[in-house]
Order: sequence, then structure tokens, then C-alpha cells
Amino acid sequence: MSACTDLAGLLQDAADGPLPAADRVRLDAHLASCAACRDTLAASRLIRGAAAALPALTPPPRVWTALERRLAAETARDGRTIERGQWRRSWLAAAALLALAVGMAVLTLVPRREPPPAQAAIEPSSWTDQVEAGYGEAIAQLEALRRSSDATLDPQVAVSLDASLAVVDRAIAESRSALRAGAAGDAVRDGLHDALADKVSLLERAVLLLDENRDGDDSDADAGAAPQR
Amino acid sequence: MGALDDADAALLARCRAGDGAAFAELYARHASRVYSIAYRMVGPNDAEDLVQDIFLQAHRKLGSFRGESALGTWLFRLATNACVDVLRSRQSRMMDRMASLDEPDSPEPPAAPPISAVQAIDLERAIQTLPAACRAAFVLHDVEGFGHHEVGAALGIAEGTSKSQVHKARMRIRAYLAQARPVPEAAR
Repeated sequence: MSACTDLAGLLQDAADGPLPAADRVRLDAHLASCAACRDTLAASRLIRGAAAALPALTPPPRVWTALERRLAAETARDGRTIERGQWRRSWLAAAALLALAVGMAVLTLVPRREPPPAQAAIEPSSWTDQVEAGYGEAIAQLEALRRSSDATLDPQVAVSLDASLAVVDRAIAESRSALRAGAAGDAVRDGLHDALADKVSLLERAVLLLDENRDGDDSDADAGAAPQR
Repeated sequence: MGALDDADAALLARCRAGDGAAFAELYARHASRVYSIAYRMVGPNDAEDLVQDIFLQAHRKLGSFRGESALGTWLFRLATNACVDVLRSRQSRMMDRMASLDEPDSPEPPAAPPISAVQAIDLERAIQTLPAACRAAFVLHDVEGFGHHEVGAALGIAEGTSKSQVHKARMRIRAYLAQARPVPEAAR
């Protein structure tokens, strides 16, 4: 074990990149006879590679909505008269850029270190379609995760969640009806947008709760299991 | 990233002139990266508010930014500092002796079974389980690609401490992944 401890620093350095020749020889000699250190090095490199490949996460559109309000309030306090409408028109362009990515995998969106695609101003109707499509994908994936989970929610929590989802689904349906009937204006589109975001948020929380319940069940099971070794 | 290029300079000038569309463009360009580091370092519950705080801070500081780095680099530095402040504040509230994010918070977990492929969602979940000190070092080093010297500077820790914190994070993640998706005995 003392050789493993002595070479721990080299092992950590080897996971980050090539070693100087002399260190490489020392470490290789140890690794030839130590499966534990080989496994540790392999795992470190695997995790480092996976971490480097994690895609950038995209904030929900509500983050910009809230920021826009705070910016408008701040500029008003400063005595500047930038109208909220100016932020709103700018927000449509910014939201369109973000909404294009929001519906992809729950956590997988624009590749890290690449700029988001340049985008001309988008007409509100096509923006709504793109936002809907994006949220639709996210909602479908979260619902699939929820269905495939082998954990369960507390019955009261499940009832409350389903009731909340029903309310949100009604809001989505009403907004869609209004838009189909030709209703225009930011309020209707914002209402649909907010309702879709709320549904994603509810489903995300459900999946996280199921994860916690599953992990809790696993540790309970481990505590009760007979020793394996 | 080097100093301010022409596109950044033009955008900065428009932002300073109070052009709302320009600031929206700044947000659209950089929000993902800022949100990513916030989400992974402070967690999903606080990330959205923190992103707003970071961009508000950027909005206030536009006038004093001298253009010695690219806009994205400057924003990322604001984001990193904001995340570290949140982590330190949490630790202070928990009366933890690690307020400097410098001391080892726990021993390395025991060796775990081998792992095969790493799925992104499992890794994201594993990162959320890490203690503050090694999570911060891991996110900056392994996810964002900074060297240990830069991580040390950002977190106020020695370079050697950064190395050991990143290693601890990897071992904790390894243990989490082995539990989450165990490799069948026949496949080892």
C-alpha cells in the first residue's frame, strides 16, 4: 500500500496529461503490478474526458424575463428612460436564440465553447412555434424519465403534482386556443411560454424527487442486505 | 481568449450607450456558459437567480470594464467569483471550518468497482452530490478546462490543494457512478 501512497501524486498527474519520462517509468512499473491503481487511473481519465465533453446548459427563458424586469427597474431608478418595450423587443430575439435549444435533451444543448448560432429577428408566430417545439421535446423527455423510473412518489405528493400539472395543462390549452383564434399580443404568447416553462419545472422536480426516493430505497436495501464478502 | 476583438468592442460600445438589444445579444451569446457554471457549482435551486445577479453586475460594471480581456472571459470571471461567494456564504452559514474552500473536507472514499462509459446525466447528478470545495475545483478544472494554477487563483487555494480536490471529486464521482450504473460482473 505504501507504494500506492508514494505514487498518488504521480497518478493524479498522469490523469491530467503526459508525465516526464522518468516519472512515467516509475509509474508504469507500479501499474504493472497494481490493479487498484490501474483502475483508479482509468476511472480518472474516463471521468475527466466525460466532464470535458459535458455540453453547455441553457437557462430557461424565464431567467431572461426576470432579468429584463430587473434591468428595466434599475435603469428607471438610475433616471434613464429606456422603456420596458425596448427590452421586450430585444428579448424576443434573445429568447428565440435560447428557445431553439431549450427543447433538446433535458441537459444537453449548445456545445460548450461554441457561440450560439447567429439569428435574424424572428416573427412572433414562428417564434411561438419554435418555443412550443422546444418545450414539447423537453416535456416529452421528462415524462419518459418519470414513467421509466422504478421509484414512486409519496401518494400525497403525487396527487398534488398531478393537480398542478392539470392546472398548467389547462393554461397551455387556453393559450393555444387563444392563439389559434387569432389573438395577438405579447400577453397571450407570454402566458403560453410561462405555462410551458412551469410544466417543465414541475416535471423536473418530479424526476428529482423520484431520484431521491430511488437513492433512499437503495441505501435502505443496502443497510438490510447480508454482507457480500 | 485574448483581449477585446472588434465585435466585442462594438457590442460593448452599444451596451454602454444603453442599447437594450445589444445587452440582450450579450446575454444570448454568453448566458449558456454562465448558467452552466452556476448550475454545476451552486446547484439548480440557486442557479437561475445567480445568473440574473451576474448579468446585473455585468450591466453595472460595463462602464468600468477596460477591455483587457474578451467579453466572455470577463463575464466568466464575474460568474466564477459569484459562484465562489455563494459557496463560501453557504459554508459560513453552516459554521463549517472550510470558509476558505482550502481545507480537505473529507477523506477520499474507498475504492469503488470499475466503471465503463459515463453518461452525461449521471455525471451531472454526481456533480451535484459533491461537497463544495471539491465540486468547485472539479467544475473549474475538469469541466471548464482550467489549469490547477488558475483554479487555485480563482478559489484562493494552493495549486497542490486544487490537484487533491479534483482527485477527490473524481473518486467520489467514480463511487457514485459505480452505484448508479453497476458494471455487470461478466463485463469486468
